[in-house]
Amino acid sequence: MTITKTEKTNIKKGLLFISPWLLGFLMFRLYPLFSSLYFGFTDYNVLSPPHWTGLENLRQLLFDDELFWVSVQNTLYYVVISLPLYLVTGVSLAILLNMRIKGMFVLRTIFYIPTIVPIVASSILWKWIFNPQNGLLNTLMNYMGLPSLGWLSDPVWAKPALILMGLWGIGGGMVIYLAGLQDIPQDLYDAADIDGANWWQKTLKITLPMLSPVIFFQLIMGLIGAFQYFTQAFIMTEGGPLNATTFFSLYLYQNAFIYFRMGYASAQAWILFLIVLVSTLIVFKSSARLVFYQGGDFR
Amino acid sequence: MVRLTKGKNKAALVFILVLVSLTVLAMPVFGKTVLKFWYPWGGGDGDLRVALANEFNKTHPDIEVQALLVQGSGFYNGKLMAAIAGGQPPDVVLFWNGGATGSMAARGGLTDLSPYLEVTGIDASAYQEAAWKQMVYQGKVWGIPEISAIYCALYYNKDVFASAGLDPETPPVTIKEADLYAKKITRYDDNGQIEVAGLIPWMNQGGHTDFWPQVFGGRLFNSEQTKVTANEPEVVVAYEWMGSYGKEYGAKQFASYMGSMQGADSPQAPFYTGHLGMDINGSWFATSILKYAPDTNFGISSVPYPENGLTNPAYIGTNVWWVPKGAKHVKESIEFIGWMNEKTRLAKTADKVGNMASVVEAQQLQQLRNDPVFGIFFDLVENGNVISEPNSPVWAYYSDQLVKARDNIVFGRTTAQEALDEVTRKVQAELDKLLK
Repeated sequence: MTITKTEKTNIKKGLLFISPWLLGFLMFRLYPLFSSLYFGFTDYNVLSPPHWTGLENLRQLLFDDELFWVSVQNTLYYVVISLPLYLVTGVSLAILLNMRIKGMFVLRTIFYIPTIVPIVASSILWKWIFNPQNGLLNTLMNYMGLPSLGWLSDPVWAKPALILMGLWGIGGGMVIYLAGLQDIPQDLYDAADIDGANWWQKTLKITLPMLSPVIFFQLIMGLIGAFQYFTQAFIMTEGGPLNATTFFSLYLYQNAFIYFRMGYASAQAWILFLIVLVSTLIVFKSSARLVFYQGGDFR
Repeated sequence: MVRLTKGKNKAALVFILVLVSLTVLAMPVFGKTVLKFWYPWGGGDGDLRVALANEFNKTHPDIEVQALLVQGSGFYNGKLMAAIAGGQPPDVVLFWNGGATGSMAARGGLTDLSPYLEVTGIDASAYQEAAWKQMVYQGKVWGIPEISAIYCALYYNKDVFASAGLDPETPPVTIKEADLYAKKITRYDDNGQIEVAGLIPWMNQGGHTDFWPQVFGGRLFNSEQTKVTANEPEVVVAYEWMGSYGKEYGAKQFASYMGSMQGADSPQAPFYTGHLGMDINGSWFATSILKYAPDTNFGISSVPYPENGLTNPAYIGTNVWWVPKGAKHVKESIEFIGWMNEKTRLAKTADKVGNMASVVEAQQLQQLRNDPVFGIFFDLVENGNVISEPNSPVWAYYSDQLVKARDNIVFGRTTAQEALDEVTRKVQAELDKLLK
């Protein structure tokens, strides 16, 4: 099928209209992306031109860099524990706060406020809460008869501490789930009531399936974000104690900006890209049976 | 007569007017050499450098120095790297760590200053040796020291000494004495946590990874900085000593203590409140004590050293002037640097910020020498063995490996020899790549 003259003109006009964005995308996103792919095969300290080393960076990362594998382990730990935790907590909270009770609006706001606190400020705040000798958390635990924990100063408890801190920001996800919940048609619940369903059955058979697209979206976004976890570790623990919080992105940053090994860091970045890509594809594939979209075939 | 109609004629007139006004505004800059000057901190230190730059501009009508505050001089956040790589570097950079000079020079980030020194009268012999040492890499000079400070002096709390039954006027001189003092001072509370710490060798400035090895008489490189010697006997002994503290007092307890203590800018800092007997800290700590807890009964002395180690070690760090690679007005940049480092001026700058000028004659001119507290630091530097951080380009990586090794040793997860052998192997591989 040939393109008519009008269509051609329209295409040209369309391209012209998006040309600012297109140029920006090509220059500032696509070009650096492929540059970093190139740099991954070089020895590059930014101040001098790169020189080609082929697969050496890859070889060193996979076979000669203990810290790389430690960072992978730390990141997987974080992803595997924090994602389900945040999902379940977020959905539960949203369901609870979806009930039509007076003051719900205030509660929702309270839960949302932590998400607008700047990360640096909240990191400093939480460092205080986790203070091993006189922090809020240990004081609270002592009241309840539990022993004090080292939290950020203890290699065993540093990651759980960071994950716990992330729960504070659950309000962001909660708001999105709330929106999803509002979207569920009331007649489904009414029909279930008529059939004599209890609260738990309604949640399991109506709420969750109808909410599944939103949960799916949050899972994917959460996955991508969790693999890149960086800021809090950078500010609060700098990768310690004993590398317990050296996450993938943190180690990448150290290589790129502290050790002047930009080529090595670029190789790391592309490995991370592949890991996230594969994980996301796996989640996509396995979602087919679990996610129900309204208005379409229930595939 | 042309009628001013709407549209093209009016637009043209406006355009010409704008062009002319811009040209007029830009006039003062034409014919002047503009030097972009990056400085790393705000506050009093930063403001002082800006004021000096303005003074320079007044007395040098054909140069204009434009001072810009860039956090950390853009060294740790990639800004300086990007500016140099992009061909738009600043003309002069003031950075707070002279040791980083080798890192920048080895990777082609700096302009070699050696050819310009004679012309502007900057001379190695006028500078503190340990400071100038950091400027030289592979026989060339890549930076000029500005102001230095003692990073490691022994601060001791006299009241804590007295409560522990120690003579408050006699600080420990040898490591053995320091160990004894620490043992007497350290006390635990009912939860098994450290209530009063005697000495935590790697806390605060004692954490400089090249510090204790040098105090114990060891070296982390050979003299050409081509071989990594982290596993040589004296260095191993130094780390074993630190490991012994971890074993004796509890690594977890130390971690908990260090994780909960307040910084020097809080009146609750452990040194002020009698929870710390001895601290390895820099000359600026004295400023903090006098500001936040002036009633603290403290003393300052040289850091303790082992019998066959380095007597009276004085570990210093220095600010450094750099001219990045690709800077277009190197002669003018050096002129500015030379002017800022002129001995009377530098002495005043050093006095104002509470540090020491790295120009030896300027140091002699400083008023701070007569201060009862700060005068001690001059004493330590002039009568001690002055050491500083190695300027090897692999130092950032090396230092991080040493921190990890130290953590493992202190927590008892590995022996000092094993950990340091590993560090040597890894860092040597990195260094070999850089030297190729």
